[in-house]
Amino acid sequence: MVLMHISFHISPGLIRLGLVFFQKIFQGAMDHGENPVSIELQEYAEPVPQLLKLISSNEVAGFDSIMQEGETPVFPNPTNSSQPNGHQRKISISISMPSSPTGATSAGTKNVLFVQDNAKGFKNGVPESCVGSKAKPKGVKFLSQPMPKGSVFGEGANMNQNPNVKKFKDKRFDSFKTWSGKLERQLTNLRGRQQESESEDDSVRPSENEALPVDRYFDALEGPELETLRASEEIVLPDDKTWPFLLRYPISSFGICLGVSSQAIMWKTLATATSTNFLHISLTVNLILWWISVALVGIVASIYLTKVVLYFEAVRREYYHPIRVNFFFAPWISLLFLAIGVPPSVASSLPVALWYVLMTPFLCLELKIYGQWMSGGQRRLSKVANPSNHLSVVGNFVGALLGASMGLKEGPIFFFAVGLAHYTVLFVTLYQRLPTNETLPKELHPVFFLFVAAPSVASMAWANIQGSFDYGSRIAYFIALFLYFSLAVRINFFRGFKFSLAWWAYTFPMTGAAIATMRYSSAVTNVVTQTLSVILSVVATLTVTALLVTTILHAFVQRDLFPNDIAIAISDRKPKSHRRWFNLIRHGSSEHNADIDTFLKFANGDTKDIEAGLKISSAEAK
Amino acid sequence: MDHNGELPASVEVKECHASGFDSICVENETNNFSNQIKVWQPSNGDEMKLCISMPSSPTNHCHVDEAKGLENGVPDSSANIKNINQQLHLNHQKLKDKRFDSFKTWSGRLERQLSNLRGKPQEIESDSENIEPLPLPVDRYFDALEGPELETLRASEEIVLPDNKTWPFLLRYPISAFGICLGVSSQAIMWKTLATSPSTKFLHINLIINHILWWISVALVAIVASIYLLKVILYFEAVRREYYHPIRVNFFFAPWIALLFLALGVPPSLVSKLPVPLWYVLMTPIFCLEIKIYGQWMSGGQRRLSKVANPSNHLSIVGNFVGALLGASMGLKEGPIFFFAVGLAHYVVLFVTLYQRLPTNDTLPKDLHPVFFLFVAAPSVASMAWATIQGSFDNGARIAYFIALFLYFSLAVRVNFFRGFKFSLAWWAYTFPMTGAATAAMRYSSEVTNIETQTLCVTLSIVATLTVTALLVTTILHAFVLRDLFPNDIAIAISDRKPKPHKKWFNLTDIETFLKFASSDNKDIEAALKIPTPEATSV
Repeated sequence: MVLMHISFHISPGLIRLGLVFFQKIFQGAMDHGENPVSIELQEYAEPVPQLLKLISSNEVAGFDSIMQEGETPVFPNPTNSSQPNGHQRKISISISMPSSPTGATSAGTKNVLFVQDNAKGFKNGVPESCVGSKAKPKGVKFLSQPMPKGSVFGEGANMNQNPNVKKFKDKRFDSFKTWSGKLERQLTNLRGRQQESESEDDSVRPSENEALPVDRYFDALEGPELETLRASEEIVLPDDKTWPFLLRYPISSFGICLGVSSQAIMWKTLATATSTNFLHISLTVNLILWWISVALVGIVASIYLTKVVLYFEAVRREYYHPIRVNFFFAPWISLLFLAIGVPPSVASSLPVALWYVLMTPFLCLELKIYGQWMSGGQRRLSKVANPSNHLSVVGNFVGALLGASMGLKEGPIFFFAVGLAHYTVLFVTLYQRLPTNETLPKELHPVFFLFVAAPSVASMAWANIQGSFDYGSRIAYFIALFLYFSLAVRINFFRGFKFSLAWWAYTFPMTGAAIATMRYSSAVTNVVTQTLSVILSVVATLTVTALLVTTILHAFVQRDLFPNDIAIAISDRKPKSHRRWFNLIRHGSSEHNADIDTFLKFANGDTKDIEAGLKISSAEAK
Repeated sequence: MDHNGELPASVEVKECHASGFDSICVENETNNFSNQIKVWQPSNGDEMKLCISMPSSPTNHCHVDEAKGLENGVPDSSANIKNINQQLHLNHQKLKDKRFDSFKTWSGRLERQLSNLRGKPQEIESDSENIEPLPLPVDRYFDALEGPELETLRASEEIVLPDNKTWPFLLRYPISAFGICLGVSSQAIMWKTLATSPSTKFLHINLIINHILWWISVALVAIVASIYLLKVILYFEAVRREYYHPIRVNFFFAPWIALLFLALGVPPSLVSKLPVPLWYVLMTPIFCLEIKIYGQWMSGGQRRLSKVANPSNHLSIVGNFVGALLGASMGLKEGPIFFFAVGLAHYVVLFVTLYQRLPTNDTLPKDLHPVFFLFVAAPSVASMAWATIQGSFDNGARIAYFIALFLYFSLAVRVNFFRGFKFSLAWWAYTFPMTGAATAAMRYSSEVTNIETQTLCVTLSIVATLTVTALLVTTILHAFVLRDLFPNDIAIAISDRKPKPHKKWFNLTDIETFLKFASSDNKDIEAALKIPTPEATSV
């Protein structure tokens, strides 16, 4: 079906090629009729280059049409009407093409990549000679390879499609949109522009593809928060322009809610704790901060909800990101913080049902995340351990704290026990700094302040459960205090990092330590503990203020608060060295001689990068 | 010498020695290369420069090789070296002094200044020339040393001090000597507990033993500490190198733990109640060291825990519990809990890490070793500390005590594995866990008094006493009969760079001798190279 459609737009010569292709394909059906898709990937005989060509020329008819046709399951047709002897499987490639970018193993993914690269090609218009692909035996590999610098059809298409550039620009982000942008198109359709006949037979729905393997994140990204692209890697979204706001909006924005709502709790405790009575702090501060944090949570959550609705693929990729996934706990933790910090004037006692409602998502997320640690595979703890994992542990203690302060008995203990067990595991693993731990920053980083969070909240939770700040609470509290000191004396190591929104999440441990100190000083009231609690509160407030100023600076002055979120746009396979292209060019037809230089340049650059990447890894190994 | 391996270098050496070795050093320090070059051999000035800069830093290969060559004449039998050898014997005494200069405080300038004060202003020094040596990276320790205590030099490595003669006593005096204080002062505590604990009343042990042992340990601590203090003053570079040694660094906790032991074991007749400030004074250095050491574990780099974990790390943990025990027995409340909490958190980390025996753990002995008895120390002291904090030997204390007991048994049944190791002074540090377990058993049997617990605590006390006695005898034997209690402390004298294959030396006269050396060296170097490459490929 695809091929039929394609032949509409191409020259007679190509039609002939396409016919040959058909023949071959249908011959193959005899031989390998059974599993068309899976074998598909390995061998691609001559036909594929034509396919490539055909698809590209299909752009003339509009990018969308391919996609839709791709979505219709055409397998049975060719197979049934198959003829002896060809490589029937090739068909499946082109069919599943527009699926989703995340499928590492499926043919569909690769095709999407190709599509996107093609789109890039349109945009850049850098002329590249892809004539080699015709002569190339392993055409599909080439096809699925990222071709960021454009291609010859890109050039051709560019000339043809110049008026449609706008359209293409939109399309480049399609793969990240919910149902690959179909939602949006349906909306458009509703508005009366019935431009495309969609085949809603979604049995090969693209988004059903497998997730990006976690190794890809480790390979493609670097930096302490795995947010920087390695030199040798490429991304599937255009990296030279600003993406749509929602795509740049990371889940770590919920860190702001954490930071502010924990401040609300701190000021509430400052106003109510017996040991800090001498400060005469009014509850108004708490009230203001609480309303601010409610507003923040509302804003941040609604924007992220929009992202979930419109760009589900981007959310999915964040969820599979080994560090970002921990931030999926942040929304729920900030809701718990809101519940804990609720001003007495707003609500004197919260309904018990609220606790169960708030803790349910925790339980589900924890079952998923802790299960991943334990059950091995790519996301086992020794591989993904990172201080931000504390976010997934601290929720237990916050929940236990809220539950115990509501007067519940068993539920808080349950979450406390779960948190304790997994905190021990995480603490040991992080302290060990296993060399297998790919996500752990080489040196200290602000994220290490999360170390302080869990024990300080745990001490308060245990104090609430027990009813008094007993030895258990003290042990937890002193552990937090020691870790805080241990990090504070190394403050020099924390400079020189690029600001990121995730830093907000690293302030709440300080606030937590300050609150725990107030609790402790209420139990042991003397000058030392009172001074300590005041100092820690001041430090926490100053940090949050500094971060607020920095955020405002980045948001309104430098306007780079939300840079392109590279972490979600990595491609699903390693970039290959483009050496093979040399040969292709050299043996290729002479008509593209002009392009060779350009090509060589690119190829050289790429090779260099890849070698540099290898060099780094070997140096690390030493 | 491998920089400039050709003959001209040795010729220069000869000439240098004709003018006296001292003058070389002085000339080196006074930065007048050009002068010397002009005077001596204008033709090949480069080699001259090398020769001159030889005695500068402690880590210079040239220096060692030269020294070796001068002493033995082994590396090559050329006439030059023989000549040097003869001349060398004339000013042998002087020479000996200079070779250890680099390990002296301010590279020996302190000492010279002292002698200047005594009226011998013999050298004009240029202070600007003195370069602060960088700390040796921990990888060098792993590469250059082997053995369970990282105290043996690998075959392929070289040291920066002469290895064929006895070094000055202070250089051979390791920080592990404080282990003796730990062993003896813990015995004092044990005998105090034996005399005072209700469960061992039936033994009718007199407090006199505690009294004697305590005074002995006070004397020992004073002697050991003052000698080490001398080393700190005179050979600061050696102390620094011990501090950077991944295993020795843990022994820097030993002096403070020994002081805590002294405070714990103080005879009741002497002081009934210790002043509270003493506790704060004693815990401050432990706290600072912990901030440093635990921070290194966490903050990554070369000294992260997965790399340096070793049972001797227990020494850096057990201080917390000993401090908590002392503080709680003094009647303090919050301080002991603080140290108990810190100790608990890091003990869990260390315990798990050591039990895992990670393959990345370069310092962990391949088999069992007496150092593993340190496993017993932390939980047994922790049980006593918790019992003292809580006021009774409750379930928490029992859990810690039973963990210690199990580990003790688990090691005791493998006693066969502990033979065949070369005695070292550090063994003393490994006896105090036994004593600690015995003391904890007494505390436990005071709570649960019956025949079994009483038998157990008597047995454990006897075992601990016997072990300490045996160690004492061995130490005396080594000190006075074998006279090797303080062997050359190779661990502090490793050079700061990998040895190079001596290929250039092939050209020299004694080809056969050299081939032998070179080939064996090459083999070792290749072996060393082979190890990292599989890692590189697997990564």
